[in-house]
Amino acid sequence: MSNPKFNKKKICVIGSGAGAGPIIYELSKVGHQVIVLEKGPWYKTKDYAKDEIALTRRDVVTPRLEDEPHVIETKNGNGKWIAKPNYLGGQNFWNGSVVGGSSNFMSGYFHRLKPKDFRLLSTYGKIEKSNVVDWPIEYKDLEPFYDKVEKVVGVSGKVIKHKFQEPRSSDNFPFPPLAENYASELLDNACKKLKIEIIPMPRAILSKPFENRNSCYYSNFCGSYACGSDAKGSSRVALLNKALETNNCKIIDNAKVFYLETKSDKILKAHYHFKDGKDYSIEADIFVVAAQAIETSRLLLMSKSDSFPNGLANNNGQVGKNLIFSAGGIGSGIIDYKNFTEEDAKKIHFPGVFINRSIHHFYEIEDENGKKLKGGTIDFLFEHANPIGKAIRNKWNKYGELVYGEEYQKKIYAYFNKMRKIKFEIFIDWQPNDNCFVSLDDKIKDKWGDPVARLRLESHDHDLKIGKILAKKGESVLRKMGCRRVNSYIGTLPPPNLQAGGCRFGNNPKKSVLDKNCKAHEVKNLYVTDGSFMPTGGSVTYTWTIYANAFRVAEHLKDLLNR
Amino acid sequence: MKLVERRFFLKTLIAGGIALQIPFVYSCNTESLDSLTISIDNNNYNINLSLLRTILDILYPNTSISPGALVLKSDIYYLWILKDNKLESSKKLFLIKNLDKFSQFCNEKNGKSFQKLDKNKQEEFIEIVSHTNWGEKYLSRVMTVIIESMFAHPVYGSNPEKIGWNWINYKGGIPEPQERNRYPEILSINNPKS
Repeated sequence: MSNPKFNKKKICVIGSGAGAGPIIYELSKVGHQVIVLEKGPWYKTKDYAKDEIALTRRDVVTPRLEDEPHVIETKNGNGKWIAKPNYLGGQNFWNGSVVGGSSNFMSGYFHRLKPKDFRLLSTYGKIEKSNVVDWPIEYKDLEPFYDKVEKVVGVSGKVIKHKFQEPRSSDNFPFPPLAENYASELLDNACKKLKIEIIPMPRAILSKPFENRNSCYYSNFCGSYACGSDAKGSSRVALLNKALETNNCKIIDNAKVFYLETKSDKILKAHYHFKDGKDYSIEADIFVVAAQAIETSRLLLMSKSDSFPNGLANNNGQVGKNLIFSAGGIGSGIIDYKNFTEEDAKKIHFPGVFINRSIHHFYEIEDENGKKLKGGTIDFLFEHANPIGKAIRNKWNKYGELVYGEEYQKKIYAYFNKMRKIKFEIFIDWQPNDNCFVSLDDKIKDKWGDPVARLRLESHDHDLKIGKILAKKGESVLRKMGCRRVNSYIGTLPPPNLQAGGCRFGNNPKKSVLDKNCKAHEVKNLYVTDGSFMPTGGSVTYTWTIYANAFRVAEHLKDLLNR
Repeated sequence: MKLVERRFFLKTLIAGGIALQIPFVYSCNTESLDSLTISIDNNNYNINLSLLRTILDILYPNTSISPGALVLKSDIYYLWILKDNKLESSKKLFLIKNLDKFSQFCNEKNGKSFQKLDKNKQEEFIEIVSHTNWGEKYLSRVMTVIIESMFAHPVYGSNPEKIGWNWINYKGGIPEPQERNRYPEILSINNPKS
C-alpha cells in the first residue's frame, strides 16, 4: 500500500452470496487481504446455460440431499413433533451452493424495508406466542446503504410516490425501468378501477450497460437461472469479480468450512474440507460468516470449545433461535386470449419482457375493530417460461386423474398457445416463535461425517390470517383484469429460498447473538452478515436488505481496521 | 457390423456394466434392441424395451397435434435416466421395477403380454392401470419422463431437431446448453471430485 500507516489485515469470509459480497468487495478494495471460502464450485457466466434440465430438474447448483440433508421436524395431526431427513421427502433448503450463492439465481425483485419494519413491536404491539422485537438500528441507519446497492449492484426502476414509500436519498433509480409486457398496463387499469395503488417493481437487473456488465437481453429465463449478460446483480458478477480485480481477494471454491477454532474469545482458524478430500485451515484477523441463515447457525453450533461448550457465540443459547422466513403465499389467474383482440393477445404472449408490478398499498391494514396491523406486499409476475414444469403441472385433470394421450396433447397445446398464466406472490412477516429454530441433529451426518442441521418449523396463525387478507386483494385485481381460474394459496410451509434469522442482532447480549454491527457479542473477531442477523424480515424479499446491511457492516469494519 | 453382431456387442458391453455410459445412449441406436441389461448398485436388471416403447406410444402417441414419444426419443431418455450415476438408485429402481410389475399385471389380467394386445385393449389396460395406486404413480412418472424428453434441449439426446419445442411454438433460451455444460457434465467444471 502507498499509505505507510495502513494496517493491512487478513479477513476470512465464509460464503460468497449477497451477505458476503459487500464485505469482500469493500475490504479488498481498500487493501485488506480477503480470503473467501465457498463450499460450492466456481461457475463463471460462460458455464451457465438456459437449461431447464440442469437448473431446475436436477441438483446442479445445490447438493444432493443424500449427501447433505437437513432433518425437518414438523408437527403431525396429533400435535406431536415428527423428524425426518429431507431425502425421504420434504422441502429442500439449499438455494445455490456455488460462488455467488443463491444471488445467481434470484429474480431480483428488490424492495427496501420500510421505517416501521424496524419498529414492529413498538408500532403494532406484542402478538401472543410471537417473539417480535424492534431492531437495534433504524431505517435511517440503513438508507445510505440501500442507496449504495442501487448504484453498485445496480437497481433499475422508477420511483412513484405512494402512501408507504420509503424515504430516499436519491430521487430516482440509477437505471431506468426494464421493458414491460402489455399485461402491466392491464394490471394498472384494473388497480385504477379498484382504487389500489400499484407501482413499478424495482429489479436488481441492469436496463443499460454498466461498467463491464451488459444490459438485460430479455432471455425469458431469469428466476432459477444465472444471467447470460451479467445484467442481474448477483454477488458474483457485481461484487466478487470487482474484488478479484484488486488482487487482494482470493476465492477458494469447494471449501466446506466445518469448524471455527477459538482460543478464549477469539477465532484463530477456519477449518474446511477441500475438494481433494483433505482438510485444511486458514488463520485470519477477522472472520465473517455468511453461509445463508440455516448453515450459518449450523456452523456456529458445530464450533464447540471449552469457552463455548454449546457452540460458538452461544453461551446464551440464542444461536439458531428465531429462524424466520418470508410468510405469505401465491395466487394466479389465466389470461385467456379469446377475450382479447388478436393484436393484444400477441402483445401479452410476447416472451421475455416483464410485468414488474407490485402493490404496497396494503403494507399496513386494519382489522375489523379498526386496529392497525402489519400487512404486506403483492408482487405480480408471469409464470416462468419452463415448459417442462408447465407441462408437468398440466398432467392432471380437475378430478385429479392422470391425463395422457391426445387429450393431454390438446390440453398442453392450448396452454402454451391460447392463454398465459399470471401469478402473484404475497410477502408478509413471519412471526419469529419458539418452535422455529435450527439445532444439530444427533444422528444424521452429511457426506463428510458432520452433523446436519435439524430444523423445527412452525408458522404462526397470525401470518395465515394476514396472508389470506392479502390473497383476496390479489385475487380481486386479477379478476378485475379479466382473468379466469383465479385462485390463491396461503400455506404454513416456509419458502426455503427466503430464510433469515437464527443469529439475531440486538443490544441485549442475553437475548441476541450479534451486536448492532453484526459482531458476535461473545467473540472479538466474528461477524455474521447474511440474513441471520434479522430479528424480523419485513414484508418483502430479503436480498436488498441483506446487501445493504453487509455494506453497512463493511463500513464499520473499514473504520475499525483503520483505527 | 452386422445387426446380430451389433446386438451381441451392445448387450455384452451393457451386461458388463461399462457401456451404457451417457455418451453411449446419446450416440448408439438402441431402436433395434428388444431388451437391455442395466446394472445398478452391482445388480443387473433386464429392461423390456419392447414393452416400454409400447407403453410410451399409448401414453403419448404420434398424432396430428404432436410428435409422439417414440419420435421424441423418450425411450432413449428413459434409458439415460436409468444410467444417471448422480441420480438416487431408488428413483431408477422405481422405473425398472414398475415396468416389470406392469408386465406381470398384464399377463395376469389378459393372459398375454401387453405388446400382443390389440390397440384398443392396450388403451383399456392403461386406463385400468392408471386407476391403481401403484399404476397411477408409475404412469405419472413415465409421463414426466416423456415431458422431460420432449422439452429438454436436444443436447440430451431426445427432442431431435427441437420438434418437441416447435409443436408448441416454444423457442428456448439463449445461451443454449452444450455438451460441456449440460447435466451431468457441468458438475465436473472446476470440480474434479464430482
